[in-house]
Amino acid sequence: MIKGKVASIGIGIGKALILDDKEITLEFDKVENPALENLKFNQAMEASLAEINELYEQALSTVGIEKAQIFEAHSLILQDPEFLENIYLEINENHHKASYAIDIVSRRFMEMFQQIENDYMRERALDIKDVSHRLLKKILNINSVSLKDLSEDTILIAQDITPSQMVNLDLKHTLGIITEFGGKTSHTAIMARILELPAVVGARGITKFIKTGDLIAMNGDSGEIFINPDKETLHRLMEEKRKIDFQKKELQSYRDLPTTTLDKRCVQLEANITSPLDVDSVLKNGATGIGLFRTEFIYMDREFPPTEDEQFSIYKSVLERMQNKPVVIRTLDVGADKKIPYLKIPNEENPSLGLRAIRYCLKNKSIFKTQMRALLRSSPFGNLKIMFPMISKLEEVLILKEIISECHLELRQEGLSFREDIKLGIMIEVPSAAIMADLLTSHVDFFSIGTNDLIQYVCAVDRLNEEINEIYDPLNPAVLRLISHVIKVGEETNTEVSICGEMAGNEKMTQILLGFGLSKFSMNPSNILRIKKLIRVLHFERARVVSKEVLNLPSSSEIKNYLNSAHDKINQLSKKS
Amino acid sequence: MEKTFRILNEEGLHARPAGAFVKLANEFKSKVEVRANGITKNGKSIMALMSLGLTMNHEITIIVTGEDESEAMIKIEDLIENKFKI
Repeated sequence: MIKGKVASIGIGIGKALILDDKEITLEFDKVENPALENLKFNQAMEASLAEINELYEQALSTVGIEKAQIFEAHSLILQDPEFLENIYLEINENHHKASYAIDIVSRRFMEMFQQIENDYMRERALDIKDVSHRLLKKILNINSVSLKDLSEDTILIAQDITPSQMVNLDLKHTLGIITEFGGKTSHTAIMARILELPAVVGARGITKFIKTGDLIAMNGDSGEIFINPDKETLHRLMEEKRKIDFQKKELQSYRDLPTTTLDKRCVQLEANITSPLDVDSVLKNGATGIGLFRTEFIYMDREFPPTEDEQFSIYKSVLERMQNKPVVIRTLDVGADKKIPYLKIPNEENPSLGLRAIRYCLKNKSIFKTQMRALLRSSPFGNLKIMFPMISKLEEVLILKEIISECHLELRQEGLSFREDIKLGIMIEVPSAAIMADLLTSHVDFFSIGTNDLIQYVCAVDRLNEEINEIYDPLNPAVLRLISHVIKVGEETNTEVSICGEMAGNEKMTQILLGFGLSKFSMNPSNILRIKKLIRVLHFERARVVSKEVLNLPSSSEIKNYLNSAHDKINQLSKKS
Repeated sequence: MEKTFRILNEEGLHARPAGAFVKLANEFKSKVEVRANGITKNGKSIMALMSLGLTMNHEITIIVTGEDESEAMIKIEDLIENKFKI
């Protein structure tokens, strides 16, 4: 057994496939005609640049903008003056072949990087390797082993897996990843977690101990790697994997079942996402739509805001993949705990009550309009709904509508198409908006209750302050009453209401919310099937009774007790009647 | 002309900030060099810059020589003080 570093959890069992087990063989012969080698190199460079641009686009729609930027750096490396100068020098002065020149120069740079005493920087040597391998393959006409079409369950093993390999994996057959180098911050580790692929990194010497075709059992939770494990070990790991898979599968059997209570009340379960990559798990978990796409993550970990075209292609790809199922995209919700340095929000005494979300957007119209134009342009590609965060008064909604009209006008003048019938909604997360929900209904098409912030504002408690986190309480009667009020307003005015905060995915809250009349829940994709399973054994009329009783209880502890015994109580009631 | 600065961004000079520096340096005709720990590197090369392994609080000296050196120095100073954000 070999142990590496935990990078992404889960158990993987499959045949080993070692990448790069054959080093590319290079000819050391000197050349007579450097001009030919220069030409070869230039052609390889152009072809590689085109490929890198393609990978950038591909990454943008699969792993998101942050990881896609790796390929921007690759493009800079490929055109780097020192890199090029060194290569031309090897070709023209030392009469090396282009391939050999690339190899020695990239090794030279990688060595420099590997000496840096900083994990993050050291791992950047891999970027150079990725770029130089691409060049070499072009020159030597080598087609890389396709990782896209594997025929059996495979554990990929490599010294390192490059970002371009990661975005090209066959996720049906790739069941795990083991690398010799890298740590938790390596691209491989980060991307594996996004893809929910078990991964162990930093397993020194692993490529020497394992041969392609060996049976590998790996445990991403402990970092353990077993090579051709004995029956007992294999059995134990398979058993564990079977348990995990069984739970997943058992829930998976609910995927295509309707979400209805025993007395036939229909409920919509939608998903919260933060990147286009999450769409896979949205579909896998049978969500009826996307109830919250948090766009701020598109803005994070970069040096300047995403352009209109970048955003357009992200929104379009999500809408297309959701095939006309509703997709609620929330405009930029920055500020408080979500920091985006280049937006230069000043340090505030009280950031959660400060310049954030829609308040920031209304004061920085050009950033907001860029997003709005991208959203409008993406609208013909699916069922887009737009939602605004942190609304606290009607005037904000009115100004937003004016800005949208401006965008309409501009787009029409530019001859760009968009839909005019997009549904507009607001987050109900500020108490003022919740209290006057009835006054807002005639101005918007839907509400989505953001319980995380609503609880914080109703209870006046900083949700990140651990000293007082017992005050942050979803069962505080005031919180429940306010939520019930908003849902009731929705029912009375025929305004769609959903909940997209943590509360929606919390099994303990499902019955109360259902009883309040909520018929749309939006949550992390991984919670959907659990909640669906629960709703299918609940009784709507009973939930009505429970929630009514709950609203009359004076404290959260009594509510908790009541809920714990609610089941028995209602059973007794139903027996009496 | 030359001037000494301190790196202020937490993650150091990895690919993105180094890229920002290189892009800016290439806008000027002047030669731009970066010196740290006694090693001087070409400030117009991302590889050279990244290989310095600069992290937070590292001291670096920027050497600019050429016709537009003063303008270049002002812009570079801005960039470094802005933690390499454009």
